[in-house]
Amino acid sequence: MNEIPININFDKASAIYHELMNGRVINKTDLINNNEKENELYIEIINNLNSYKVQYAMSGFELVAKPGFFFIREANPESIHTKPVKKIQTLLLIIARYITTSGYKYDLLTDASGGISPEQLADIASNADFSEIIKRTGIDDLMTTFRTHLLERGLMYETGRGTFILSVAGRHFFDEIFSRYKPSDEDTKL
Amino acid sequence: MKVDRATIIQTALNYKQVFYKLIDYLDSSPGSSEILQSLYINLYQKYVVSSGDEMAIRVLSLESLQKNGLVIHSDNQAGTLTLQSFIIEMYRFIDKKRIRELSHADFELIRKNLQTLCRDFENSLSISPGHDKYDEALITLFDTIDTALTRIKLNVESLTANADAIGARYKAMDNSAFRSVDSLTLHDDSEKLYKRFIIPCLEFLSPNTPMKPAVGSAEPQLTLTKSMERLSELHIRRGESFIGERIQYKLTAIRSFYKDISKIEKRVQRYFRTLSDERHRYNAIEDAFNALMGDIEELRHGKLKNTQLATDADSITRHESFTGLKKHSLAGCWKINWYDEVNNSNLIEEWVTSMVDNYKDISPRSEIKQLKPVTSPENERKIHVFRMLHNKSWPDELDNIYIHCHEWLKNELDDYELSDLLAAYEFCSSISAIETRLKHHFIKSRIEYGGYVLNYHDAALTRISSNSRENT
Repeated sequence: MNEIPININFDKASAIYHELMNGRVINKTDLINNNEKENELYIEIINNLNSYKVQYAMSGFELVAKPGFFFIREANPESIHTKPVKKIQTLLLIIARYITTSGYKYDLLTDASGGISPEQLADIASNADFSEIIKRTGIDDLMTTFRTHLLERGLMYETGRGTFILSVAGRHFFDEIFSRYKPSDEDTKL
Repeated sequence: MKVDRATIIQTALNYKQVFYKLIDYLDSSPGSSEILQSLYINLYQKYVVSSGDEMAIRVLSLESLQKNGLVIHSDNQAGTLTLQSFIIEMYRFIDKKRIRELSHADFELIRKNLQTLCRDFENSLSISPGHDKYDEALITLFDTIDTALTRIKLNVESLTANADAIGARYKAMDNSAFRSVDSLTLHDDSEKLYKRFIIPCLEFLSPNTPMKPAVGSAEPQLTLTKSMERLSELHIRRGESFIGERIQYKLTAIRSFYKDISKIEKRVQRYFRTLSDERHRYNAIEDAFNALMGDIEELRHGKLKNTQLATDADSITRHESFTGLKKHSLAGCWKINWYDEVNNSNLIEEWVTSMVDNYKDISPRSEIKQLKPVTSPENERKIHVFRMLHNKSWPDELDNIYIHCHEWLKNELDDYELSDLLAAYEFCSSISAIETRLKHHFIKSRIEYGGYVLNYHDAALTRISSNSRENT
């Protein structure tokens, strides 16, 4: 039998387990005093990546490494498309659409001096344009789902001003959208 | 009433805003030189009549402008008028932003005129000053060159003013705390300035712009530079160095604007690229959102009316960042991933056999005394609070669960501390019957007690409802 790798920090491993098993992502950075600081749990995984991969693989999960964040998913799920993901993606899209069509730059969602405010979230919740999407996605209460699915899972950070910005994982979702979107040649030519 | 033209122009210069608005109207309908009479009359009423300036009211009336030749044509049936072109040019000259930039068509006209003159001088004219035909052609040549020089100079001023205006709008947008109201129109304006006016100007001034032969001709077309160089060389060859050098100086003057235009090009390019990034993000978000809306719209019809969006809908599966992200709860998550299930029994049998082989001589077991688990005082306190809350009867609904627990524990515990409230919240969050009824708000509140402070977001306890449970 192999020895347990001596580099593993058991306190951190326990904290990582608690985060991942509760459906949270582990971001490369945390928002502390409105500054993004390195997340020691992320560093712990990076330094012992293979060990952690094996640990979760043995428990029936896959440790998924994305640029700047980790999460786990079931190794052999009935379907890889889950309800939480549907709600998360829909909420993120609604928030971004609300911001960009309200005359703000996307940067509002990434800069700690900006962020979407609770009042704006309340405005989204009462916005008739979004109500059908919210209902069809199975979101009963936007505020609660925002908290449980975006904040608690580490897809958004709360700033010191009480606003909310995208975490590394949240930004990755949009980076993927931006990189996959192919504009017409006319839009890019100069 | 006949009025001295100088007086009319002097008076008109006091009411620039009227004529600027007429120019803006002309610029909004390219190709047309006609202005609506009603527009002029409205502006005349608004700015001239309301000023009470008797002289201006008399001189700038529509009738006066017609009688004194500033309006060259008036079509009463169509309700339009045409102003003298020099009036328009004068106001454009005064306000650089309103100078009409030269388009590709304008440059092409200048280039063709010079090319025609160049070929005339080369093929059908003898270079002989003093001869009427040559002298007339030379006057036309310098007129054409001077007009080109003037127009290019004005064009550079106009482009500089427009690039400055875009720069100012860009700066204002950048300083406006993430507001982007103007970014899309600014993107379009900078693109128009760049593609329609800067690039043609650069191509026109560049000596290296490749030229294709004209339709039906094998001879390549000449750039402005080439035409002027050939005209200059022709005159020098024929002993007319003075004229040849004059043409060369004019060419140098025209080409000196290339550097100015290049600078403007780089500035506008920088604005355009940044604005393009913003536009790209805007369009990408729109695209993803529209895909989602498309899937939602499909559910509006017939039997699907009450159906929820499927988790494998195209608009959901096209994104891969969080694919498979697990549910919140820990329940049922633990399992050992035995890859080779068929051999499990063999493995266990082997393990049991080897254990028996190794421990044949096992001495009788001594009685094992079971130790009580060691718990810290903090844990004991927490367990105590948990027990109290577990045995307590909970109301159907509460506006603020924090306040409720705080008041209740304060009454129940003689040595109540604010840390007990944290234990209470932990209890509420871990008991399914309570946790599922918690509704969080984004209102920040604060409790101060015993020298400590607890900041928290309000959470209410709602009534049990079959639909209220969020599927996490």
